[in-house]
Amino acid sequence: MNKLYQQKILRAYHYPANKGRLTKPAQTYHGVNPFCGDEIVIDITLDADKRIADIGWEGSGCVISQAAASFFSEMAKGKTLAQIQKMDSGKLLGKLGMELSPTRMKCALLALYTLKGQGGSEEIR
Amino acid sequence: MNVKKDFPLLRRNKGLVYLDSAATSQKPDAVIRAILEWYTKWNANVHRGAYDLAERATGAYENSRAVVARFINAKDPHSIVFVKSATEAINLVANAWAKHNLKKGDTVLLTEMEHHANIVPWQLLAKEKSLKIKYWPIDRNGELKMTNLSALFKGVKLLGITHVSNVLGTINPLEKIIPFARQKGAKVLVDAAQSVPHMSVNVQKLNPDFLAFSSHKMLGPTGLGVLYIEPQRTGEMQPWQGGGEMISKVTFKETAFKPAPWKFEAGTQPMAQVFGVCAAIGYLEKIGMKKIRQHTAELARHAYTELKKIPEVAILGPGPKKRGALISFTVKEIHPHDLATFLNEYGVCIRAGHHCAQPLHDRLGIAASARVSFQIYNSQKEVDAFIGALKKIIKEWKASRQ
Repeated sequence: MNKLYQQKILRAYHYPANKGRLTKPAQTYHGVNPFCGDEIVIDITLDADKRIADIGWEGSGCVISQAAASFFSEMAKGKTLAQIQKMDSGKLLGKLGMELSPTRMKCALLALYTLKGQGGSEEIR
Repeated sequence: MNVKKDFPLLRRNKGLVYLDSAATSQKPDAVIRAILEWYTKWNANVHRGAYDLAERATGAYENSRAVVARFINAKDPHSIVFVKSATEAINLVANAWAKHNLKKGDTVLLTEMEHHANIVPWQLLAKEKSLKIKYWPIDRNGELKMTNLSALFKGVKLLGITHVSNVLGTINPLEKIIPFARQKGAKVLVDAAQSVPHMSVNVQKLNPDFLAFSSHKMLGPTGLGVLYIEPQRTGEMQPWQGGGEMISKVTFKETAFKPAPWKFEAGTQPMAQVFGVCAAIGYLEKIGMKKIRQHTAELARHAYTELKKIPEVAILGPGPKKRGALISFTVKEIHPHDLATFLNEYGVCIRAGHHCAQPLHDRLGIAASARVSFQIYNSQKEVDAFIGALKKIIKEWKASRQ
């Protein structure tokens, strides 16, 4: 198992950062990976500079989707929504640090695409 | 039964434990040879040419139709329509029969365990024609609830039902259900995609109006499915796809159509694949569908028994006696996706997800499940390898939590 999923990924899965809905979110985003049933909902609040002040998420899914959501939630803090739109998947995938098949790629990028507003029932490309 | 050696992909991948035949089956040499043979010996367009090669091709193609008819014990080869998949077969029924025979307010009865192929075409048609769709509920064992049936069938003009569920494995008692449905004035469409590859299916005994199955699930080539149409229904059907081959006369003004089955086979058909599925039928019949049923049911029974011993595993669907050759299950705390990834490291191929049955998974209250499915090339040793790997994975997972 550790060959596949490094300790940091399993740790992020078992003890995910920013897990839990926010009490008064400014905005909420829903995402689903219809391929396998991974789901996520992301709440954010923004500060005066329109940067993400707080982020909370709930979801169910495989180790990769949940660990990636955990990493992503940490990366997203302090960024503006415009910056999130420009964010490419490279950094997040780098944080995961593992080789991903095209199928599992969709798991890893679910949180990112969801916050970009692309997490709906459309196919995650 | 040791037929693994007949399957080149399995021969080449000695360590592979392929437990996903419900998604697609592996192909024996005989089928692969048949495809080659078509293109090297027989290939010409059918129903058209006046030269020897074309006449022989036509003969082979129509002979295949007869072979398929005999395989499901259909009296008349003309009740067999070749389509591109079981999914297309169901869409054909929706567009060529239901569209012209159901009216606003009529009800289509499906079941909660249907594959998307036997749900989505009906949702599309229902929107177009203002039809109602009802779902026959399942009980806690994953079997159809057999109570309040008169109420359930009120207003039902078509029953769409799977013979064997691709998730629950449930074998629906069609010998009881079809006569009941007909008595209630409903026509019956059977999705036989998971039954035809594993057991003897006799349309004269079952007497459905329509029956759909798939070549690639029964050791045959991809890109081909079969729709059986009860001859009485063909007079009620309009063409679905228009084009060459399904016509008898075309003018600029209008067209006269051929009778069934050709009326529903527009354009050049997948001739090589039709030839190939014949070889698949030959291979299956040489072993015997009874033997195949016994073998795969025994594998499912063994897997069921072993899975039941693992406390973290929850099996979906009924006990071994009432199920076909597959088992879907969940494992506490381990997402099916991860299970499949972990098992892959052991060379074990399973399916994870909703198996094209999202409504069923909603009904079961789970997002996804894992599934193992068996065919004649699987063995008890392979089931044991799967179980052994699963136990190791669960142990490692628990350890990783520390």
